[in-house]
Amino acid sequence: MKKILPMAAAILCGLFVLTDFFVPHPSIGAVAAVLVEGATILAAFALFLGVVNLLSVHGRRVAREARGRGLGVVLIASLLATLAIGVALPGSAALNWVFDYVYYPLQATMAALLAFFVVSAAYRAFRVRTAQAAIMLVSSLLVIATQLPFGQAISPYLPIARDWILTVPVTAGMRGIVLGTALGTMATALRILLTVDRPYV
Amino acid sequence: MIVCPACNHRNPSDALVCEACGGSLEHFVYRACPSCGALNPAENVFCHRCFDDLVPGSAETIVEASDIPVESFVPSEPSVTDREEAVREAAAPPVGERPTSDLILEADAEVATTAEVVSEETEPGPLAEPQQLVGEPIERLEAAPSEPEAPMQPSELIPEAEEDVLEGLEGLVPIAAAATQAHAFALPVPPSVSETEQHDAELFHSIASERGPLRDAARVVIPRRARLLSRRGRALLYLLVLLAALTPVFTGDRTSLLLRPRDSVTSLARDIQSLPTGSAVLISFDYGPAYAGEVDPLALAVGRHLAASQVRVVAMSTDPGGVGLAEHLYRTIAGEMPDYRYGESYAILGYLPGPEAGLRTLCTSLGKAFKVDYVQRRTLSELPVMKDLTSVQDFDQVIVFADDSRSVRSWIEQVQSQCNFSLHALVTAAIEPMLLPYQQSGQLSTLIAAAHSAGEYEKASGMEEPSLHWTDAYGAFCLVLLVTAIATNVAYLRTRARQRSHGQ
Repeated sequence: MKKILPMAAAILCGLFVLTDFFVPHPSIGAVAAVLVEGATILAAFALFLGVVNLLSVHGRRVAREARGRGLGVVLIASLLATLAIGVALPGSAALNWVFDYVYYPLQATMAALLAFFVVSAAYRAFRVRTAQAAIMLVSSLLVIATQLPFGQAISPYLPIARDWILTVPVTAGMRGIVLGTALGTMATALRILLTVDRPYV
Repeated sequence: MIVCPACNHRNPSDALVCEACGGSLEHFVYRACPSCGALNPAENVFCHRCFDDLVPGSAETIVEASDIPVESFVPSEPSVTDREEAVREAAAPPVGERPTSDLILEADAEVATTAEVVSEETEPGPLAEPQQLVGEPIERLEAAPSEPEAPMQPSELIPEAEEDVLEGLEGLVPIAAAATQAHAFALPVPPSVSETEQHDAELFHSIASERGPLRDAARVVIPRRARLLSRRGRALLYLLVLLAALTPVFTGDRTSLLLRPRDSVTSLARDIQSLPTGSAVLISFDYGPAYAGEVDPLALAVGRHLAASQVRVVAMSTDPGGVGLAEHLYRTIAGEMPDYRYGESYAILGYLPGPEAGLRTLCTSLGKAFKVDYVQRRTLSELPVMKDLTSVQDFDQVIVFADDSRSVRSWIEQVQSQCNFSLHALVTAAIEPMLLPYQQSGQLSTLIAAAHSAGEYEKASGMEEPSLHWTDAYGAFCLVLLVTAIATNVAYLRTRARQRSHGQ
């Protein structure tokens, strides 16, 4: 019974939502809407569980005076402070201040470092060691050149070359990946619906 | 190929760090087995797979002399014999300063229990059971009867140290006195060997150690060191990146004069221009602050255009960081246009959790997805801007700013497939190729890589705003990349030509 009930619930929920895609009947749509709304609530609750888990892990680290406990203290303090401001004063100036002067600059700084890594990696990776490397280099140079804001001013053929690279070889590859992913998703969905896979048990 | 010792990932032979875990591979040298080809650590004498000898003649040496030093196999793990010697050496200076009995009396039970640890590593003699020594005080160990064959008396092995003899020594078992006591007992005398047995053993040895006719000595595989960028070269590259970022300071807005809006950008600007006053657009800010530098200028340009066109805007996000970005952006626009008010001209609904399921809810009811708005915490029906807007189908256009292709795919698969509306994706340049199939199938009305598109959009919509400055830095960075790619190849080809000329 422990297994049958969750399996039955999973199959029924999955079938209802799936049927809603193909059969636009109001009664099925109403049930599917309730189920989807429930999934949204569950996702929100997962966020809450994540916060609890984070606090638990770092709280233990601080309590045991383990290595890196200072960072744990900073994390817990920041989390609780932001949470308190966000819950007590949602959309307030204080929350905006935290976002504008702490979260935004930190994230932007981390991403900005990527520019340095990209250039350093370009120096090491863009070497014509093999024929494949030569093809990659020429394609990359073309795409980078067309990314120049004034690329069209340099040559009217640059955008044409870029469009060809993006729409023919790149799109072909991406289409293959998308189709493969879709087939994989279908197979996984079928396995769950047929209870071959039971990740929820 | 180098197999990472930490994660077993197979890396190219010139790798310096593991591609999977990032661990250093610089100090790993392998010996390829001549028989089976398996890669072994350089210090191995035998192949770990087929047990063939990797060093010529090592098998003979080992079998005949049986005295291969332990260091040859396990250099990092000192043997028990090494430990004894090291303890003796460490204990040497204080000898004579204090009598041995003092040391014995000061030894506590913890010291005695170390005998258990070490005695497990040593082979016990027939007369000494290690289990008998567990937890016994040192005095009893000293009094234990020793065999006449024992090479050393226990009193000789007890370290006579005033301080902790382990101090400053790494890799040693604490106070090895008990360990050496257990180890000191004599090994059993080997039984006598008959002539026939001796003959059989020699025959077995000759067969086992016979080398195949085609087997060569093991080949030492040394990972090729990739030529790293020198510190000066790296500093130069970083300086170029910095200069690229600072380009707008020096150049002003010159490159924007050369911009020509692409067809997709012109198409989006025309779509928004054609919207009648009072129509509604849903904008989803599905990107975080990390990519704000790339996407924000375009989002600002589109937001300004919508505001100038007096189109109602409802903003939301499926990224927790996106809500703050939307709030930040609309604060800027509202500051520029006094008549552009929250609740009347625009509203921010907030973060929508549950990527696929959350988006599905938009098809049926916005009120179920968002109970209250993000800024004023009012129900959606109370906001004038939400008039006649109950689901995503009621919007004239939907624009998604994204830094993750999964987000746009969720919009297409979960929302647009059900509700059938015009969807525009304005994304980072990195994910543009991943969404091209959706554009070609017509599911995306517009697909624009943000990057320098803000300048193009502002030109296409006839606006002149400061975001045009971004194009200078972007163009300069592209130039730095181009120059770097060309410079590295010039250096590489010159090095190859020099090596060839030396080879000839």
